[in-house]
Amino acid sequence: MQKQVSKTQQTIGAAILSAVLLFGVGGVIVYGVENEVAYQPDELYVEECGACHYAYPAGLLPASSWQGIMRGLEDHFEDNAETDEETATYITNYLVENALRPGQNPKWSVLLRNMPSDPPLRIVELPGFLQSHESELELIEGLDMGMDFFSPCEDCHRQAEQGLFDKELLPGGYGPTSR
Amino acid sequence: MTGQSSVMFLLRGLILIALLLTGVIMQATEVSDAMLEEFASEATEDFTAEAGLTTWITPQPNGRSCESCHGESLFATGSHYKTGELIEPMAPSVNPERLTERRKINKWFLRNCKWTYGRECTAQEKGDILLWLSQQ
Repeated sequence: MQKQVSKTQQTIGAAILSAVLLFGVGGVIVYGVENEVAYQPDELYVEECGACHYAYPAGLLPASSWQGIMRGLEDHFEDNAETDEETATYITNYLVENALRPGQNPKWSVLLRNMPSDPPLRIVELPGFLQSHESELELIEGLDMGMDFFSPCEDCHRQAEQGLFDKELLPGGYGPTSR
Repeated sequence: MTGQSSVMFLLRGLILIALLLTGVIMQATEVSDAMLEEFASEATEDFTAEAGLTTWITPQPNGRSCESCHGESLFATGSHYKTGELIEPMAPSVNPERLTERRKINKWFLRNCKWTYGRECTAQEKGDILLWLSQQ
């Protein structure tokens, strides 16, 4: 049985096909662009520091803070995080090279706001961090958790491992995951 | 291929795989064995698994012990006392990567002894612990 395809049907078909192609090609391009700027932390850094806690991206703290942290690994926020000199030097260089500084990562530049001349050692103590988490600070007030609540970024920023902290990616509700 | 030769072929394959696996396991004990020998040259007594176990589980005056983070079973996953970061099981029988890297063994002895005991462990303590761990 043969059926004549009408002009209208042809147009609709062509439109659908173009739309599919457009989305497909567009998707590939966007994916490629996103991949290009994808966050890729240093392997040794993640192995050494990520064994005990989320390996905070270097770009979340200014260089002087990283240097301060790396100088005091023997008492690392009440933990011992010593490592051999070669490893420590390598990691310090990596962190300093990729540290928070103007122009480094526009998405994280909010952390540079009102940066004091002697920056704190902890990300959660940066004025820019406090400013960008004002509503969350209000939420935890009275919870008796203190600033430690904020230490595991990945509890709320579920894609922190990929260096993604976008507000749009936040799940509903706050608080530690089920670990 | 005849029936007999294909059986032989399979057998040879199995033997090869078994040899390769043994090689991997042998390597694991080679590292800890070599380190045990080195520790022994600085220790006063023969190492025993019992002493290793005791050192591992006995809480210090500060309340800390190896179990604070590694948990009560070497065959299960532990978690960091503060951050909750998961720690893979310590027993080589369930986690073959354990005790295969000298650098890691030394690093964690240094870090964890200082956190738990407030000092570096002695060669005697490290040897006892390593012996006990290597048997798990």
